[in-house]
Amino acid sequence: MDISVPLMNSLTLGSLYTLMALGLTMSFSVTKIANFAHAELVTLGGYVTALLVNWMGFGLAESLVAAFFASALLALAMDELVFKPLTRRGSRTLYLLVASIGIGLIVRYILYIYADLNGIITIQTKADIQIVSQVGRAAITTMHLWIFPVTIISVILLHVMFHYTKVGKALRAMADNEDLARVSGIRIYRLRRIMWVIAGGITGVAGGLWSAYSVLTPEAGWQALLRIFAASILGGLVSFWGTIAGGIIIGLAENLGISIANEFFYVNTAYRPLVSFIIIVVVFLFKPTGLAGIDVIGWIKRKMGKGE
Amino acid sequence: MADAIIQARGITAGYGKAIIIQDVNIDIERGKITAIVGPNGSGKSTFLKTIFGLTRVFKGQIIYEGRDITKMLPEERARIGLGYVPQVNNVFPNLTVEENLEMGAYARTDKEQVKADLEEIYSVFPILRERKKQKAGSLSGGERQMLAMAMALMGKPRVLLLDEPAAALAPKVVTQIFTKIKEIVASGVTILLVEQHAKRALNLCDMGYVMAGGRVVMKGPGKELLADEKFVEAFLGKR
Repeated sequence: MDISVPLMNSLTLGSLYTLMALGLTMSFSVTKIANFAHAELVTLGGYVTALLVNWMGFGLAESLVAAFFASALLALAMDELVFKPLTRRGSRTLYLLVASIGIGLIVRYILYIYADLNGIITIQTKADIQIVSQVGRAAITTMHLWIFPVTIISVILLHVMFHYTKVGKALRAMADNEDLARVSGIRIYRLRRIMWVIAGGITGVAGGLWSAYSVLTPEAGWQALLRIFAASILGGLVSFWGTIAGGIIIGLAENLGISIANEFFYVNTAYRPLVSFIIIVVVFLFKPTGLAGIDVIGWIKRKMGKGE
Repeated sequence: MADAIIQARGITAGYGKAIIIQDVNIDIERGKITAIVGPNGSGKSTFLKTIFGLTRVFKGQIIYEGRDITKMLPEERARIGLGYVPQVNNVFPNLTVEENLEMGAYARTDKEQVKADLEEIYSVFPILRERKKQKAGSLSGGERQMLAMAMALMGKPRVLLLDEPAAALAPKVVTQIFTKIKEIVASGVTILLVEQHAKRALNLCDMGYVMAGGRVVMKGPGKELLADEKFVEAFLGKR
């Protein structure tokens, strides 16, 4: 069995899921909202990119920047109009979750109406895709040269921001304990806005790349949401490195894993979405802190200590 | 009339719709230690939180340096000279000790002085220097309390609110903490201390308030309260 094609697909989709999940990880860790409307940040970014490239003749790079700002704005609006007022009134996280489903529905169906009127229920960004190299039977295209670097750079930038800048450290402080952050003089509402802009923006870029890689519909984000949550949950919902590992694992399980299961155990590939469900359930049952809760260095040290 | 840096005037406050404290009048004197004692659930901690704007105020005013701050956001109060060490959850567990101290100084803009103050904190609390790269969540109870206090000091407060700083700590650590409090006052910081251990607090403070059932029921200089038969009978038990 030649695994080069499913492996390549795994890595590509894994990177895209990671990129989509980074914003969820970020907004969840700071606000504790399980934001189901996160899906629509993906879809909006996708449509903005596709329309700018296909209709206006913009390049992919400029369109991705526009997608960043569009989704950032949407994320900001969600928080200012719904989440923040609810939080201020003492809403519990369950209510916020339900509210986020509501926001998601509204945005999704507005997109549907717009897409229907303009005949773009399905659309794909017309990016100039060329094969640059070949690994086994799998082609490496210019699309991969977008997806991999953007994902890796995003993770690195977020890591640097959260661990080496004052704003990032304050965001982590806020994630830990909002009241204590306030009594330390941290202006939490301003930070919250910065957070939503970055989280929404990255998610929009992910949607833009998705629209160039695959066909986009107003449901695209919603359909990816399960994988996005699975990636984020695998990463412990708080860690960017955990999220990248989570995204790649989901990508591998859904492509390489299913291919192998199909080849050797005749499992129908239609069971693909089940993989994410199973991962979510298993993580919540046995390791709710996800990959972030696994102390790899400590484990190695203990093993080494015992070896002596 | 003594020189009060904070005055609470007829404060009725609580959470949501629940009223926890009623018609509380407390003056916090500049450069002194004011203590609030009383049994569990008497509203002491709620009063501290109210001064910092973390509760809902139904009635009354909080005056700081002659200015009404009743409606000011907590983060802004931190920026005008208030510091607060909560009883629990008083450090950021996923941040390192050093990052915690940086957060304590978050609102300050005098970078050079912050660095110098950090060095000073490390010399006062050497254990924190040893642990500066460790996550605060891994500290022991005593170390965590030291860190919480050090964080608040990094903000250069003029008034420091301490909520049960010695609760659940070993006796030796308690002595250390109380010595530290005396040093802080000596450096010119005003302190408001909430304590369940009445004897300890009243021995230390200049002015004491006794709260019960969400109201102030007695007040007076700490030593006088300790000598007051009525107080001893009601709150310390007969001897």
